[in-house]
Amino acid sequence: MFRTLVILCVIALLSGGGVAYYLFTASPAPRIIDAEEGDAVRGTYVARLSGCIACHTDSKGGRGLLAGGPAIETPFGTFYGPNITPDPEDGIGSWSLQDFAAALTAGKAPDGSPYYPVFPYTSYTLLDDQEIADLWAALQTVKPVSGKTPANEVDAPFDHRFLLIPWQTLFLKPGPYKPDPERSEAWNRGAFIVNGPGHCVVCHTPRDIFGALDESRSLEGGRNGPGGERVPAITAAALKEEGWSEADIAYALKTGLAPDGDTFGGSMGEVVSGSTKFLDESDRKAIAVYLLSE
Amino acid sequence: MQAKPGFTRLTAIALVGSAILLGTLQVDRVLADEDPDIKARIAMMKENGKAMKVLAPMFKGKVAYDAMAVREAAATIKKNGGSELTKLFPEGSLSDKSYALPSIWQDWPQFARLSDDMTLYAAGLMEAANNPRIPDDNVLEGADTLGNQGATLGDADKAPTAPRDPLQLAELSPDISFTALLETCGTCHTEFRKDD
Repeated sequence: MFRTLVILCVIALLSGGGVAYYLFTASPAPRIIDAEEGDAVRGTYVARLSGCIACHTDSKGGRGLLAGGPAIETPFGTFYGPNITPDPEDGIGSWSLQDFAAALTAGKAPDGSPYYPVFPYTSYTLLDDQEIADLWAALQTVKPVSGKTPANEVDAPFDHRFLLIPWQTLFLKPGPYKPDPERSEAWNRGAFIVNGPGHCVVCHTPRDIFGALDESRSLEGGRNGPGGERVPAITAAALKEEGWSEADIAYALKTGLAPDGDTFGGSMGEVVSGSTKFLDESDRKAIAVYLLSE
Repeated sequence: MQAKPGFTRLTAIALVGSAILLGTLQVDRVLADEDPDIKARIAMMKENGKAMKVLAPMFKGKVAYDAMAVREAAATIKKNGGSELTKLFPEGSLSDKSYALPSIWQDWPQFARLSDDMTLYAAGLMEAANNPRIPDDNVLEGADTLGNQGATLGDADKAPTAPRDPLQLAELSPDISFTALLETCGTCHTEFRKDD
């Protein structure tokens, strides 16, 4: 009896150890980028699509373009989008394209340490290699600015950064985006933008207790938006119930004006002014096609 | 289908009772939100929203463009901007009903400027209402460096804005003023309005 117990304990420990070993070692590896020389103009479009400016620029605080953002309050703590200008000390001027790709596709800093998912690499991993190279080229056109943002103030237990490794193992699904051949080109483009660079899902999909997106409730909104904002549901059902057409969605993304005569404020106001108003009309329509599809 | 007299009386009593109760609740609500400035500015924003609902379908191309209707709706927004709006925001006028953020009084010059812009661009829209439309889909992008060929991310903070000269606005397409008006609404709501 005692012997059986001991054996069971050993098995439990070993398998527990095995699970832990897996969780701490199997987070997705950075994708190796295979692309032509990046194009800064195309990359500027990718930057707009990805909404980099809103989180990495503090225009009110007078920091330069992409030189670090204002506080982002989340249920997991307060975060500051870092300086991503080409400054070699305080920005990302000493990085290689591959370092940059590791950040976007695997949520890893050049020293291998994991980033908090408030940096939406779970979405940016859907970018393809060329888009990443183009975005990198675009970032080189930004004026280097020195100075760092304040340190993040993260609540326990995630203040222990190493816990993000098992988080990545469990919740980071590596890209790039794979089109669904059953669906139209516009639908696929919309799905890519909403789940990928546009990272709409990051605010509009509620999170579970681990801080991972609850995909069973995709785009259902919630009360935990940036700064405690209420985030509306943008499922096809919710949008149709409120009378949004494809044209209404595309127009709202361009101008901020909703069909009820109100203009977006808060974080969505920033999304429009920093990102979606600069997109091609075809991309705004693609987003609408995807959001309204069942 | 004749109801029993007792039932009718009971129903009547219940109805009157509910009406009184509802009335009381209603009064409570009004009392709780007595601040006349807050009430007035909420009503004013609703009026602006209504005017926008007239304007937007025309600029979206959903309904036929009607210059007279544009002028009328723009006039409403014009009269509601400037000091007519800012005077309804005395320092610290916040309540549960109000969506105003305290940042209004931390950055009053910007708040006042946006309020002036509201009148500026609504007036521009009135003056330009009869001008030819720009059917081009990219009115907004056309006003931004990033939308122009060859511009890169480094220029992202150098985007030119719509002119602030009323005479110039009056010469341009109404779409320019309307777009600038929408940007003004959006900027103010982004910086100074709590989104629940």
